[in-house]
Amino acid sequence: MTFLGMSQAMGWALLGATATAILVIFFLRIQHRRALVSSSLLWERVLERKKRRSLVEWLRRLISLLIALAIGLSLAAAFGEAEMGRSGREPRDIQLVVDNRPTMAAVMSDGRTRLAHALDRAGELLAGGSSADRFTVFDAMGTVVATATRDRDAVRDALVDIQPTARNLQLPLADEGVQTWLLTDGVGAASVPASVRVVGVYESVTNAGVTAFEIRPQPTDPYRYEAFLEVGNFSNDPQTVTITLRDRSGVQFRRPVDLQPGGLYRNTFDLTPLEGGPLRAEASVDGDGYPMDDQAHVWLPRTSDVRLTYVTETGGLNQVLGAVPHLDLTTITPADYPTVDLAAVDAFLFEGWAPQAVPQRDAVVIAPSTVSWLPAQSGEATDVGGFPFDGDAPLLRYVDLHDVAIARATVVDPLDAIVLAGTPEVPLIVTGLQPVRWLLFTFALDETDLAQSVSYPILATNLVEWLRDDAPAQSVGLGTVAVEIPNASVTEVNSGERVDARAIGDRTVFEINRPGLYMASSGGRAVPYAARLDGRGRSAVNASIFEGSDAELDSPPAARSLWPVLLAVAAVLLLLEGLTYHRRITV
Amino acid sequence: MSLSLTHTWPLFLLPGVLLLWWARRTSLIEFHPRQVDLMVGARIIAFVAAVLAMAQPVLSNAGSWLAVAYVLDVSQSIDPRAIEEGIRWVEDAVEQGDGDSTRFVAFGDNVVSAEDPDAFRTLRVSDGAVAGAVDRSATDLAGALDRAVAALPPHHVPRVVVLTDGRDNSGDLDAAVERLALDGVRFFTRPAAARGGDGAWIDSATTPASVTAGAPFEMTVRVFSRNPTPATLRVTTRDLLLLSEDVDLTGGVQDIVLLPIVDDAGVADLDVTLVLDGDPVTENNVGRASTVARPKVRVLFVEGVPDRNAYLLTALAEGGFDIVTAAPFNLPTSALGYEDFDAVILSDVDARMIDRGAMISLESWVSTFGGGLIVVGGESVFGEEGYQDTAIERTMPVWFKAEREPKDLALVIALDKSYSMVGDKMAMAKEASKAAVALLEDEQQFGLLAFDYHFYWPVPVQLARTRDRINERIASIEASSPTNIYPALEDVYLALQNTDAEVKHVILLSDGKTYEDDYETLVTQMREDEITVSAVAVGDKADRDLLGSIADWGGGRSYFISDPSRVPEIFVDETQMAQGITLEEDEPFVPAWTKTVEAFAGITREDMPELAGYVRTMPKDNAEIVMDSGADEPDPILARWQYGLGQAVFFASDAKNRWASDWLEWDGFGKLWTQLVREAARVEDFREPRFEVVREDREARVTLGLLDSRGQFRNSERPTVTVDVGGEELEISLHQIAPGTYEARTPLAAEAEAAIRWSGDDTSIERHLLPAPNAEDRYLPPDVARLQWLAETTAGAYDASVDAVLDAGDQTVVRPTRLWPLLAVIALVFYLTNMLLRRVRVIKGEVG
Repeated sequence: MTFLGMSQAMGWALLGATATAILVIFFLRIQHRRALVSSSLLWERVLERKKRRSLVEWLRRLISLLIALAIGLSLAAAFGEAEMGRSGREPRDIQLVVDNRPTMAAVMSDGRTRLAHALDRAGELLAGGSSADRFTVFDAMGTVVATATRDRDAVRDALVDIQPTARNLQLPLADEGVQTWLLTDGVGAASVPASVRVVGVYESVTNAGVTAFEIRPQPTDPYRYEAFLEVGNFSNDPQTVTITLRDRSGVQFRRPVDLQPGGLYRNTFDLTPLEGGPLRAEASVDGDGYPMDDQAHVWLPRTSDVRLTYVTETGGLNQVLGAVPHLDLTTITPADYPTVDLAAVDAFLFEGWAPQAVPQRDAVVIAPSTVSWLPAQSGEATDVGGFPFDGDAPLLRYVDLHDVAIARATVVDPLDAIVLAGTPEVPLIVTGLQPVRWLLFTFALDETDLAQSVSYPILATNLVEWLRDDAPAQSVGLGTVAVEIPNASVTEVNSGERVDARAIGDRTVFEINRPGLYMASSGGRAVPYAARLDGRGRSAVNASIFEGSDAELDSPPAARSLWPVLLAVAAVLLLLEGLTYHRRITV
Repeated sequence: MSLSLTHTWPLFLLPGVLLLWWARRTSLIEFHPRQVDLMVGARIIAFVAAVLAMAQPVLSNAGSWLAVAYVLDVSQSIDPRAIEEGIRWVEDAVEQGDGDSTRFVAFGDNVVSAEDPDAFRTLRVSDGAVAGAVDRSATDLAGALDRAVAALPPHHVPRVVVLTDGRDNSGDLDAAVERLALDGVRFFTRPAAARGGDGAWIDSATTPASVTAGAPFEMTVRVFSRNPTPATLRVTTRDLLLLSEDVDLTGGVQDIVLLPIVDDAGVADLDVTLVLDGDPVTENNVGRASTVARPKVRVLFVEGVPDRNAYLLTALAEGGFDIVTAAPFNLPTSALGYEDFDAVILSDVDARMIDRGAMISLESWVSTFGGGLIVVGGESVFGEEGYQDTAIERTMPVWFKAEREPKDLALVIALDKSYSMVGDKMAMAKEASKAAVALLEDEQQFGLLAFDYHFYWPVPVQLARTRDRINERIASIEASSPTNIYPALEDVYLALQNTDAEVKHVILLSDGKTYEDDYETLVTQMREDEITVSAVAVGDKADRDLLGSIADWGGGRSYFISDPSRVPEIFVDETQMAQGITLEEDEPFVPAWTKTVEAFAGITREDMPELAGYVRTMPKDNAEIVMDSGADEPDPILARWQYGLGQAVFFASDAKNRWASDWLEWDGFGKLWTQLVREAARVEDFREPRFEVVREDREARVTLGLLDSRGQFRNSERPTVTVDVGGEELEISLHQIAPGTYEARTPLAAEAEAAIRWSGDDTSIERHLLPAPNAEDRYLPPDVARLQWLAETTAGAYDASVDAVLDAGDQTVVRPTRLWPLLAVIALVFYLTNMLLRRVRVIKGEVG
């Protein structure tokens, strides 16, 4: 027996003291009341004494004593949090590593995941130590789940939060004398050091999964996308895997494929006929025990035309914009702006003018008049050239502004906006997200030789893509995800469920526990993120060090919590013995 | 405060209290009734306590119990005095705080806990991984924060005070902070100074992933120096010195851009060394970078006047180009014929010397294959008989025509009518003369002198408006007698001396040998009187040497033709040039820069010499005019634009000693042309394999992108790469992850250097991964911005006071208290009380 609530010595001392107290009290002689009685009564007393010495009376007293001891010791042992198990162990410092890589989400034959089994084993391990044992719990990536503590309940509470999201197995360093226990399914755990005690929670499962699903624009035509799909059978038996490609409008492709164990199906798809939006690849097989890799998601940028309303007095951009593919251009004068049908507009381009009211669509503004929703104007800069620019920004990708000269530009205060070209003191191209998504050129086109630049047509094309604001989803892993969007709300696209997110600085941070397509939205802008397992190794749920071997797994010491039972025993005996005492059955 | 029960089912046992009370009412026990009441009461309390303990009640209290971890950076880069100062600060803080919930952590690349602040002073440290010691060889701030938070007791408001320079070089601090911030941990940062001392070091050296052999490329060297001091940066590869540059270190962080040149294609591992006097630590004066040099830019150089091609050719060769020369008439007539080249230069090439198919191929090569076409002007590049209405004109950023008033011109043709001219030659010469007359404006003057041994003026110098009569006179010319040029030319000279035209030009045509005479004196005299002379030698028997010399002395052009049918076009060109519509040779001029472009890097505008002439053209819409003639109505001198995937550049003057003789002496000549050609040359074929290797944590990630010849993705390939680490080669397979994209990962130790090779069908690419430098050798001042970010991100504070750290503010935590052990004790005590009451008569009196 082990005491978790106190040291072993104290535990046993408590039990001894309790037993002693009970014995002393039990054998106290009852001080009877003095009374005058007749001699016949004396005889009765003699007879009674004789009777007391009888076997039944002896048994009655013995049972009473045992019950008293049982009640007292049960309560004392419960207080000491007595557990079944070996006693007398030295206090230990234990690092408990719970493997929470995605393969731990595989469902075992009892319907529970490997991770759930691992947490059970962790609970057993917690129950097995001495009260002086100290536990620190890590997840597979070495992140602290529960700080070093002797408070087992705190550790148990922390275990509940573990999700199968770790990207790799990174065992924490252990100081001398510290035990490390790893609870794992053994997948990819071949290099675990011998000093680590491995607790196995493995059972082979049937699994077919999507191991790669990516789209790319074709190099010769950025408006045509191609997808690569790879599906594998990671079961130990041949399987018929049904592969499905699905978009918003329904199933676009479905094919059953017979795959041998370890077999892969690869295919590429021309996505030109599809509308933009979420696209999902699925791999399904009877009895699939690993749902994490059954789906993979991408976001297909829409290829429909951008409906741009160009508000201008001069129409200076008509020629270059007319040559940009996938642009539906309407040119109007500022006087016509109030009558624009917003339903037919995706974005506005204001040249030399801007409305006082915030436009209801994304806006590109070139050399505007002063309006409240754009950065305040504070002066003028002349003969600007050789300015820095962000060539990685999508708007300026492949655009070379090194040789562009600007005769005159308005100086604006960029505040929280992003300067894409120019300096913070003299911003030339600035973008912001509030109150709508806007892009500001602080110079008029006739004040620059930009139109003579070899990059000019590319800039025009990029501008339309900036207005389209639709790009393939950025790939993220499971776990904590930080996106470069301030104060965004995050939604899982397929289910529509809102994900808890928190703004940290200019970024939004949230947790993703399962693969899927997530949309981060802020200020009218939405950016898709595809959360996926990173590679084929994540689907190989049976590639375990325990597969096909009778490897002896280290097990946590057997232990069962006794104190709830002891309390129950004490309560029941307190009730029953209370009844029997008053019926003079027990003493 | 709130009370909750973990289980409720034990409460169903509570009615047992009624049974106990019933037992008391019917008790047979001989005690005073009040003692029996006490006895039963004690038992009921014990029973109820035991039942409630089974329900496991938890009492939750909200409070601001602080737990503080002090995290001390003891990595190599931290000044020992700063460490001692930090320890003292922690000691002060601890004196004011609660010692029970305070933790102490020292870190470098790993983390070691200390019992108290004083223990920081006696911690074992090492400069590598040693059990139980702090490894000072790196700064893993993320790991330290994780472990510090792990050390804090639960159910406390977590606080972490970090004393560091904020220069972490291991672990992922961003991810750790974001994760810990979600848990409500606040970080308070205090800057710790780096090691002191004078000196400087190289913080990093970066190069583009790929460069071009023979071309300078930007190598950015980030240098830190404590004080302003002169120093030298040396760039070497395989012990070969590429560049040595003296620099003035300004103090602090400084990015210095060097322009080394790698001569050979292939992988180049570059070492850059900082040399300065009195640097106490020199181990950190070395930076390394690896790049891949693509083969030199291949230029196809086509010169229209072969004996004058040396100037530009030499300049380009010195600029690091791989140059192939070709004759105009040998140019490929298929775009694929230019596949081996990145740029084609046509230098003063007569359009008639290039096959039309070759021109179309060049246009296609530029627009489709991204080639760079540079056309350099000259006397041969002009007008209707030049590139006008050709594929070359479509490709160029200019129209080969000019909108100018014709000059006041007197044109004289000196026509050989000797015996040898009988037949086609004479017929062609007559037609050519008529064509020239047709081109002239009415107010311009024309004369034709026919000569054999003697000469006469079939058409005396007169206004061209009488062209009908002139044509009749030309038609009447008959061939006879041998050739004698001198008297004829002398008479032409006399005739032109008497005209008042601004421009006087003579076209001398001959097909035979003439008598010797002092032509040089005559023609030089004519040139001094501003009369130019061009010479056309027809047939193999013509005195080419003499006619060529006459053209040279006369400042004109010489033509040597076998086919007399070319005479008309030559006369037309000569007439147009003489009219000054397409050529401008009046006044030397310095080209005006319309803007400053990268091609002018290292060139001073004021140093640019004059040009003596240029070809007049008109700029196209969207052409980028980089230089113009500087006149009131300027003509383009240097123009360029994007044409399809490639670039086209037109230079209106020449690059030889006719118009650009001063430029040939100018030290900017080679630089300008080198930079112009390099900018125009095809950068990279987008279909070439994209091979990238990057170090990620302790892995190398290899990515290969493959396209076919049509630019489509190459799918279902099975590429492999060879990874060479210290001479041990390992072949790994790449698997497809996206259309045309393949990837593999392989373990790679941080200190290991790897060469990774991929070999395709006809190409092999190698990349190197160099070990990262020891970041702890960089004694940078604290990264205040990063420390502020760390504090502000978690609602902590930078450079915080002890009071701020120990003020929980509005942060509270809920601390749960398990009540069942207390209830178990209560049950035990009252049970023992119950037992005692059974044995000790505490209330005397009547038995109940």
